[in-house]
Amino acid sequence: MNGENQDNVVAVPQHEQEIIPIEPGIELIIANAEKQVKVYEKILAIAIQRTNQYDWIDQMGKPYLTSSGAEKLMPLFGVSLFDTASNKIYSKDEKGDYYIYQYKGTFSWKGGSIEALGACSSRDKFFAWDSKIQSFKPLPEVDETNIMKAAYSNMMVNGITRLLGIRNLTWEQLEKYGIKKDAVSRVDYRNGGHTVTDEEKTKQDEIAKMLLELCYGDQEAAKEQLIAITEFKGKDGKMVSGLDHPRKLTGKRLAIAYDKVKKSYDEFKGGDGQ
Amino acid sequence: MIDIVKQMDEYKRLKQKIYPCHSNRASGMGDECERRLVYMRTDWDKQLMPDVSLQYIFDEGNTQEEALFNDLRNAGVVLVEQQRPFSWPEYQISGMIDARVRDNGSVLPLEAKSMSPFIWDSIDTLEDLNKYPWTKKYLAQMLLYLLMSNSETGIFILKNKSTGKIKQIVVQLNDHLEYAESLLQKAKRINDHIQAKTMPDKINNFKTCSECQFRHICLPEILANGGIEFIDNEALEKSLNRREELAPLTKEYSDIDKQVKEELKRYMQDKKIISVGSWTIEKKVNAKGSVSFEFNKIK
Repeated sequence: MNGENQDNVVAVPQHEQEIIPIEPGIELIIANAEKQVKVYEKILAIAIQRTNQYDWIDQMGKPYLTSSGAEKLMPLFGVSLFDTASNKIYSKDEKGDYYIYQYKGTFSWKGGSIEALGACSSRDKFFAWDSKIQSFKPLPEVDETNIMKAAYSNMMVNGITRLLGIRNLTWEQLEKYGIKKDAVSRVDYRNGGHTVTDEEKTKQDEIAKMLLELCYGDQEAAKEQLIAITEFKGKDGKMVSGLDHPRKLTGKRLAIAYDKVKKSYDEFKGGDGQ
Repeated sequence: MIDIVKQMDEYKRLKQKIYPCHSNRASGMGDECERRLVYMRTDWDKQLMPDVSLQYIFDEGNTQEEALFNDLRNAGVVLVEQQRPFSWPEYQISGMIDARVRDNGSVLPLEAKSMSPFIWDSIDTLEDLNKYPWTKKYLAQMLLYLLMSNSETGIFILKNKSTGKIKQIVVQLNDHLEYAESLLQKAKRINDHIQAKTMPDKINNFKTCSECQFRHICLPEILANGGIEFIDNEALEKSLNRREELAPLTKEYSDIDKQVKEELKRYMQDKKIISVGSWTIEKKVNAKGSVSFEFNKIK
């Protein structure tokens, strides 16, 4: 498939009388092209309808089919995968050592086949970025299995979506077939890859602001305060250490921390803090 | 506005965990792929996380089974040793039996499985367990429990997740000795592979391999058989479109037909023929007493 080069094709306006059939079978070519467009639209509709909200992620505002979603389409369309191979490449630069996992496989469907690649580096922001220190984690702290799995997933998504021609879709296309942007999980790489909703992000920011105010601008004190607030006793009776940055808080833990900080803050504002 | 579904999804996602596996789990020994069983021991930490919807299914299963055991106790069934761990060091097999149940002086292993109404309806015998890849493993699991607990008889309780109804299927070890022996041989082969750091052959089965949690390490050939066919058949397409257009009318016709006939039955209890507007309706009663009506429009 040459889908990658489609952006370079420009339609040239022509006057009707200037259109001269180049070859006798031009009507057939046009008819086939129209048929292909119809088939493509059908593939798109069938593919999207087979997936659900869990199969998509909102990646920096754009819809992205996950590996589980792409793999669901394999049996439906009858996509095969063979000659798969993986490779781990070591490298080094001024920031130190790193490695890249690469997967390669041949995907085939309806007599056509493509070779697809998937790669993931130990410098991948999703797995290796430490938002606290605003830098990549040291290599031993990066979970190698995650890098390997992500590289494989990337190959699967790449191969299946390219072969079926369902890349670079828009939210409008997805919504037409029932996948709503609001229902899809969002991934924000600026937050080290954790799934954070807008609401959560606002709460994280508010916690930081309130704590800093509570601690009269002393960042270290605010950090200690947050650690103390977010520490709790686990189901096994053991203490679970608190977190030192609001960005590390999500879900229920964030909600609890927010309520605690807000309560202290409201008391503070109602008392000597005003 | 609060998005409860999203919050729940996140909670389920956080619950997803991969547990260490240092022995051959009885629950997995019926797996058709020995290579996967070796990976479970050697590379358990590298397995791919399943879709979050599977976590919902697991959790629902646990809730259902917990409720089932409460009901069984309330019904007077005497359950002992719930969740008792078993192990067989010689074959490096381990497992946990749901419960043991008292039956006329003996104590029988009992394994509870909850399932969707469709699956539940289709399983009545031990042979029926072979219909689905996951239910196929149930018999292997039970046979290993029987061997490990020196019991001859075990009981499956299958619960319909929708109605809560249960079915009992009894397993006699003696009826499956050959299969039980093959499971022990399988465990031995797995242990030998682990010791020798070798791997069994790939099975290259589309269904099993495309869903396997070790496909990124095993790298099997995932060869599809079939898939969607795009066909051109204008007449068929026209019929399908017309069929869709008529579908709401069929329901409307059926509702009105029922309503009219019920009304006519009341109206014509002691009448044979009536006229309404431009219609005449004649009541007919057959030998068995069934009533039907003949409708004629006056032109």
